[in-house]
This record gives sequence, structure tokens and C-alpha cells, in this order.
Amino acid sequence: MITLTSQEIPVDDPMAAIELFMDNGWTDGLPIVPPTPELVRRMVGDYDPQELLGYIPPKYGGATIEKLAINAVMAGCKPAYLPVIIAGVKAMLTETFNLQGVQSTTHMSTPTFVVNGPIARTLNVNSKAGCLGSGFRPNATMGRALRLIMMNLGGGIPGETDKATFGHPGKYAYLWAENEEESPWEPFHVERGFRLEESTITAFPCESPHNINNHAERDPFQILYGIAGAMKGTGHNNFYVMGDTMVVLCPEHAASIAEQNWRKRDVKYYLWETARQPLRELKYNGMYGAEYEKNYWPRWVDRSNEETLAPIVRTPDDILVFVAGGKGRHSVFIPGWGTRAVTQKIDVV
Amino acid sequence: MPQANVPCIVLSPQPEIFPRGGTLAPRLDTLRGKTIAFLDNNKLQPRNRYFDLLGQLLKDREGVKDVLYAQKPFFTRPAREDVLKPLMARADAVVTGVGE
Repeated sequence: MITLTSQEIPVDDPMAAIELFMDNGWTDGLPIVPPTPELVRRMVGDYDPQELLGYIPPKYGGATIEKLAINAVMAGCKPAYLPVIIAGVKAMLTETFNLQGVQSTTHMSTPTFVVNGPIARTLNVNSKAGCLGSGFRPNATMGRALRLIMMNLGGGIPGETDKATFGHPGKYAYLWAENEEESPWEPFHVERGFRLEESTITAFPCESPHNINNHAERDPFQILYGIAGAMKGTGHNNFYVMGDTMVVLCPEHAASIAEQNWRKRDVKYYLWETARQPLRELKYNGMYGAEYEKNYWPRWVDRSNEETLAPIVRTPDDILVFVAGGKGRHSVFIPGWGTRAVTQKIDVV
Repeated sequence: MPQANVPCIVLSPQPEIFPRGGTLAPRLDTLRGKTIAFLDNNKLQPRNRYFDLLGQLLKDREGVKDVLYAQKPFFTRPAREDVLKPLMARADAVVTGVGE
């Protein structure tokens, strides 16, 4: 029998539990599945419920497996999803990720979580049509569980410690998988040094996706020119803070590009060379206005010359390229908050 | 799922463990004669003006002895030890914050 130590709360019936969690601000605004000890034990499975992964800022609540499992039950997860959630929390707890900042910024950013490797197929994480939208339990409930953990253990309460001016719909759930089967290139986790048979989750603080419609072109230069055009929009953080940025190519765009023998690296280089703006355009945006020389551009950007072209991020490798989505010729640009994506291996006990 | 219309127990999703030693620093009894530091998250413009004014006010009105100023290198990243250490060594209190 698994011993659980969380406070037990008696309620009259499941609906009363749902209302209690709403009244206490323990949900994302949607009804939860009441986390009864029986359901939480089933979620914990063979894990040690008291294993502590760390403390979730800014409230610094202890992230034990038991607390993760409670929030996973609330979100509607299956027990098989728990390893993904554990790895997602580990990714967010790295110093590189800077969860304290992500949770409390006025920017709208929230982590998107990308699952790679065999577990994505085993759990049916959607990587194809509609993968960034609603309608798929693994995507919806694992994404939601990670958000509930950020709220309940980390205290990321909108309008209180979460100071986001707007937030965005991805704050309900923002989890998907790479469409490795239809990608002409190596999967993202292999590019990052993991083995093909390993599974990973990549956490990346970012905006909502921006669609790039291109049904007209088959030529890599033309397809990517359009994507670079969307990336060149001013106001997003990358041009001012750098960090990583994300491009998700639909399988049809990726296939057209790869048919011309372009590698993923060629895509990154082209986008990095093309998604640029002269300093005279950038100086009216961002944080510093007239003091625009303060922006975090590389040293080689000549701040004394307004015609200098600043790159969207410091290096081509800071453009994270994925392949996902279904049929149709729409790709996606997802601007970052200005920090790095963190990829964490998923271990199944 | 628990049965409808039947009393049940649910578990709290709220944290019950917090970091050891994560207590608040002792509050100052007075600002008079103290050294106060500001840790700027590097977002304000023009740089320093707000903190210059605030520091002068603290000196004029509250009798603060000295005001220190430091900046995080990036507002999206944590302050490094080389930024924090001088403040820890010299300041009686550090004013920092979340957001802007």
C-alpha cells in the first residue's frame, strides 16, 4: 500500500470537491477530476511518492512525486503519462530554464513542451493534424498537469505572482510531439545528442504560435523567405533578448525543402541570415527605445550604424527547427521569451 | 472516479514542503545609518534614474547612510554570484523584486 502524506480533505461528493478547488483557486478555471487517494495511488504506481524533485518558484513549493500525481489526476491524466510530467518538471527546474522569471514576467510566455522518441507514439501524443490545438487527451491533460503544477506548487497565479499582461491560451495546455515519422531529417532529440530510442521532453518558454501560410511555393528559398518574413516582425522578445526561437515546419513544407537536398542545418542558416532587421527599425521597440544600444545583440552588431542588420538570435543553432502538423502547407513560428529550451530525458520506472 | 452523491476524501494539491532555511531575512528596525542596495533587473530606462532618485529620497528622508546599485546582466536570467556577492558583503538590506 502506497503511503500518501498530503492533507486529506473530506467533501460531501465529487461536485463539492470541484467547487472547493474552484473556490480555493487550485484550478486553471476548468473543473478538475477530484484527486481521491485511490486515484492518486494509481497515478503514483511504482514511484516513491515522497521523492522530491525540487522546489517550484516563485512560491518554492516542494515538487514531490505525490504532489505531481495529485495535479496529474486533477488534469485528467492516465498513470502512464506521469513519467512525461516528471521529466517536464525536471526540465523546468534547471537553472538554464529560469522558472522564477518565466512564472512572474509581464510577458505572455509560457512553456511549450515537445515530446520526442518512442514514448510519444506509445502514449499517442498528437504530432499531426491539430497537434497545437484541442481534442487530444495526452496533449491536453499532460500540458494541463504541468500548468496546474506551476500554479499550485509554484504559485503562478495570474494577476498575482504571474504578472503576465495578457498570458495566452497555451497557458491551459501547450504540449505536443514532433512528427518524426514524416520528418525528412533527424528528430530534435537526436540533434541534441540523445539516442533515437530514447524519449525526451523539451520545455521552451514562448509565445503562442504564428501561422505562415504558403501554398504557392515548392522552392526552399521561397518557402523559407516567407517564414523569415514572419520571424522579422518587430515587438517579439527574440530581436532584443536573443535566447532561442522556434520554427515548426509542416511535413509538406519540410518535404519540399528536403527534396532539394537541404538539411536541417541549411534551414537554420538560411533563416538566421534572412530573419534580420536594421537597427533603425528595432530601436522603436523592445525595452530600451532611444538607448537601443543596450539590447543583447552579439558584439559584432555595429550599434553606431543604424543600417546594421541584427539577427533574430545569436547563432543559427538558436533557431529550434521541428517538423509537426498534418496535411496542408502551413508552418509555424513561435517566438521565445528570450531564454533557452531545455531537453530532458524521460525515464519510465 | 469517485461515486456521485457519496462523501469522499480528496488530497490537497498545495505544497506542504518548502526549502530548509528559506526564511525571510531579519527586518531592519530602522533605515537610519544603514546601507541599502538596489538590484535592478536591467529593464528600466533611462538606466539608473529611478534608483538615483529613490536612493536620494532614502538618504534625505530616512537618514540612509549609503545606497548601492547593481544590475542583473539580463532580465530573463538569474543574477550571477559576482553581482550578488558585493551586495551581500556591504548592504544591510537589498531591494529586489519580481516583474517591473
